[in-house]
Amino acid sequence: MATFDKADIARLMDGVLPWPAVQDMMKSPKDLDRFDMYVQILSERVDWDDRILLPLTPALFVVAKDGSRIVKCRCGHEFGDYRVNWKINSLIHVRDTDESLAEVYEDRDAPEASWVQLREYICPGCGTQLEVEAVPRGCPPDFDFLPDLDTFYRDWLERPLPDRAEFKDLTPEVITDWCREVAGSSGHDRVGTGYTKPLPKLEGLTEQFYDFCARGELRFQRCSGCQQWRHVPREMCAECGSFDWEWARASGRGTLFSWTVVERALHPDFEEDTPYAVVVVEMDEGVRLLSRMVDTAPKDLEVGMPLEVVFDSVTDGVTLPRFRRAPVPVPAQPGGARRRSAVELPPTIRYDTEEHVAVVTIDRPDVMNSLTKEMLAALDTVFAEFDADDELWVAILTASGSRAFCTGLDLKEAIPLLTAGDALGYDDHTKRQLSDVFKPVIAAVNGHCIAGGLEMLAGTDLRVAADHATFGLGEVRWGLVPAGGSHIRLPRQIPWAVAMELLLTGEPIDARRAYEIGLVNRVVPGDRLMDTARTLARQICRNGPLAVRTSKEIAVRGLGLEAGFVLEKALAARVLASEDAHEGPRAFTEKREPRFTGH
Amino acid sequence: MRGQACIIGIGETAYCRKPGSGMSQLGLQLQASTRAIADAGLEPASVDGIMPFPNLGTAEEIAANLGCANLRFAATVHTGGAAPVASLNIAAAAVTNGMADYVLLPAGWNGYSSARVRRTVATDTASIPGGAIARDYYLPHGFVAPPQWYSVIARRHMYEFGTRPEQLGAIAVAMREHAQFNPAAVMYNKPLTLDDYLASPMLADPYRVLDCCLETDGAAAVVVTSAERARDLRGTPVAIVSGASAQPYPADEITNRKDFFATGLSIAAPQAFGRAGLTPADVDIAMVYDCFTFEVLQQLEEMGFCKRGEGGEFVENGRIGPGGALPVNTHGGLLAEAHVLGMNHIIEAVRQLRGDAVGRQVANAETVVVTGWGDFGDGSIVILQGSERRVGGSHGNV
Repeated sequence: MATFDKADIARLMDGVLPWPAVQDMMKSPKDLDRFDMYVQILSERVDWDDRILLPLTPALFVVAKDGSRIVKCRCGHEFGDYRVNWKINSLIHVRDTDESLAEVYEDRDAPEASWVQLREYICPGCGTQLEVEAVPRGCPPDFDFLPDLDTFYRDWLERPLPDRAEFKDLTPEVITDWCREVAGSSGHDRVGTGYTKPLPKLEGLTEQFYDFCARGELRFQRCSGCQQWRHVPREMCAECGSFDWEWARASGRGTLFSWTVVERALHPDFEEDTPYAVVVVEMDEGVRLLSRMVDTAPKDLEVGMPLEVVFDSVTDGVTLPRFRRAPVPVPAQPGGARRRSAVELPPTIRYDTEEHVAVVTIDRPDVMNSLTKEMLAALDTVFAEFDADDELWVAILTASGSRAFCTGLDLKEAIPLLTAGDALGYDDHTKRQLSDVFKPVIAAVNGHCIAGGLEMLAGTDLRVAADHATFGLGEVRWGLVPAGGSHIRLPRQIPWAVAMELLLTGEPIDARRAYEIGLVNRVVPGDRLMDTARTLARQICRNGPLAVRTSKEIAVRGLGLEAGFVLEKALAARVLASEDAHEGPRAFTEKREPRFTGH
Repeated sequence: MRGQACIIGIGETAYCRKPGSGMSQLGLQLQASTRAIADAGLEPASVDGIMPFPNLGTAEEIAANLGCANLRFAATVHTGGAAPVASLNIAAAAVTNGMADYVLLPAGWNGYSSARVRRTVATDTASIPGGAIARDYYLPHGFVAPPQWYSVIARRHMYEFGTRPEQLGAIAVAMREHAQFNPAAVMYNKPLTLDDYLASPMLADPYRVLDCCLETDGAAAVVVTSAERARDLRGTPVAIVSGASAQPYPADEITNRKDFFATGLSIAAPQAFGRAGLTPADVDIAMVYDCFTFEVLQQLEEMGFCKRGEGGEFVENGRIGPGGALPVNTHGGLLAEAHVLGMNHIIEAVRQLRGDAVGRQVANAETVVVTGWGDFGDGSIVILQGSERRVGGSHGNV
């Protein structure tokens, strides 16, 4: 076995050992004292006395000093504890432009600065370039060698270190500190191995839900069959049985439904958070979501307070939806916002606005929200104002109380006027209620929607009904015909046979049936009616207002209803002038069966 | 006897907290089981049906230890604390249609010395129905344990109906008062006032520590057989008149229920009362699964003892305490006797109907209702009545 003395090793280190000797050295087993000889030579070449434990580079060593182990340059500059990446305490020259890269590379070999940067780590003590790394932009300084000195000495050299200290990799702690500095005062320990709380298992629908959260989007499933929103994710719709659904973007807004304040964590990982409020949020879409508040002290929580979602990225893979107070409270009831009509409205018609949404309320619940001539005119006025106001994009039409949405014309006031030949303001026979409104109108049907109420409904676009609502055109039972557009609009909106059933039998249908035949979009419990209408309104408001308005205008004008309306007016006149048209209302007020003659 | 099936034997271990039972979970259940079998006047070998509590034991290991060589019926109902009463109903069906002659229902654990909530919550949640939903949508937000789950229902009840903390306190106090007449209760000789309750630290506001059931070691068991077989046995039978179990909808998710207060019991109770031809007004004593105070109030409402929203008033002024118009949990319940998973409620009902509830016997108790509550509001109910073989009347007057 070839042996090499200290001079050979020194020549090897200096790169002057002849090649045949290097080959010999490579082929033969390593001398047992090679490492010691190497360290001894290094020690002789520096002008300080600290014991070298391990060389890191030709110029950089781990040394023992005052019971600790530090990284030290041959010039004597000390970088601190060897478990901390020495690079971050060096001078760093970064080449991250094409020009600076071109200084060290031949023309064609230069990498593109958009991909790569060169970092030269230089000793602050002597200016020696200690190391160079070529890394993608943004890559943290590479901590390329953290030696387990104790194991090396004990198991390889069989001479345990006298100053044996507990080995510990400090890298995560150092990185955590950096991230804390970057994150500022967020106070959340969520880097590296810091986040230990339970996480969702990202698979299937749950993975999709959280993927959207990671993109800053709160989405819930919405059934393609019945349009119901749902949460938590399910494979099929329990309402209608459909397996088709989409991840629909939610408003992110809701109200506080209930909560608990956890004072004693029953899980060790949440102890640091106590006290914390876990909230049940009722989203505008009608689903409830369990979450945590980020900004509100438990004592300030109140049922019904408006909340909005924020996203909390707790780990690289998981972003949780959390909630904070909504900055602009949504009025809980119509009437909370300003009244804007330029003209004096009767007290029975209310006109309110909520951001881009107008809410028109028929407020005459004591007589089933029936309409007088004055109210008809007021409705025309507010809808004209709504259509002309660029700040308003969608209207909701509803009524007070829970018994009736609208039961048509007032029997005592408007019907006698009508049979006496008063057009009630509708002198243009090519038009009916809402004919000129091309912005979307959402009806929120809070009860009976009968006769003129249903005629008005036929002029709206989207319709939400309380589950106790009814719909009917009873005119023929009293010898009259509904001349407010129903003959023309209804057969175009629902199937012929059903439209005829409504028109010819005069029998009302319930909300469930109205949903089945497509007369309404949603049926909800009465207390959810306005929230559902508002949600629809907000969904429309997210779209381009010009596009929405034009879309409706094309659809409505494309129907070409004008000729039909004129026909309806003309033919209805012969009924209104008949004896039966007087007998019917008379029988109604006298509470008896009418005696019709057909004349 | 009015029912076709009956409870013929009951057995319990001692109930304790510190320093723990010193026995294994299985050992405790075996001890309670042998006592129940002996109380029935049977030998273990006669037991041919076993219905273990979910996740606390298997029919195989229980049968192997007891020597039940002829086991032909084994089943477990996975509805948490609703399981013992639900199992009782199924056992009643099994013994009347010939699937088994003698069905043993054991339940028990080292709830203090080994299975305390703090230690088991993370793993247990994964094992319940809806566990994946809890894992993915509840646990990440720190909504990890039953007192937290149910406290949001209690909060909403307070908001909608004006239910007050003092009314929850009245339940805690009533259970503790009952326990003062039960030397086997862990809280015997440890009285509680409403002020003590209100001073108790918050756990999951509105739940205080004293709204929560005990964590104890112990086991209990009952044996069910047909009325026909019971005639030949030494034990005193108690008739299983009718029963039902149901789940709230959806059962696996607690926040998105159309009716936020609906529980399994809302569906099960009318069925059980209807089949028995009885109403809550006919009930002499109620054994209501009292994992937490508000759940007692909610179950009383959903069973129809009072209207929804009126439970707070109902439980006040001693109505459910000793000597009240409707004594609830005369043994002290999970809140003051021991947490034996509700099996101790069935046992107390049997005792009262046998006339054996020494020191706390409710005079002329003829009809007792027992409920179970588990997981996210699963419910079970059974209506029990004494048989004509009932011995003695009132042993003591509370």
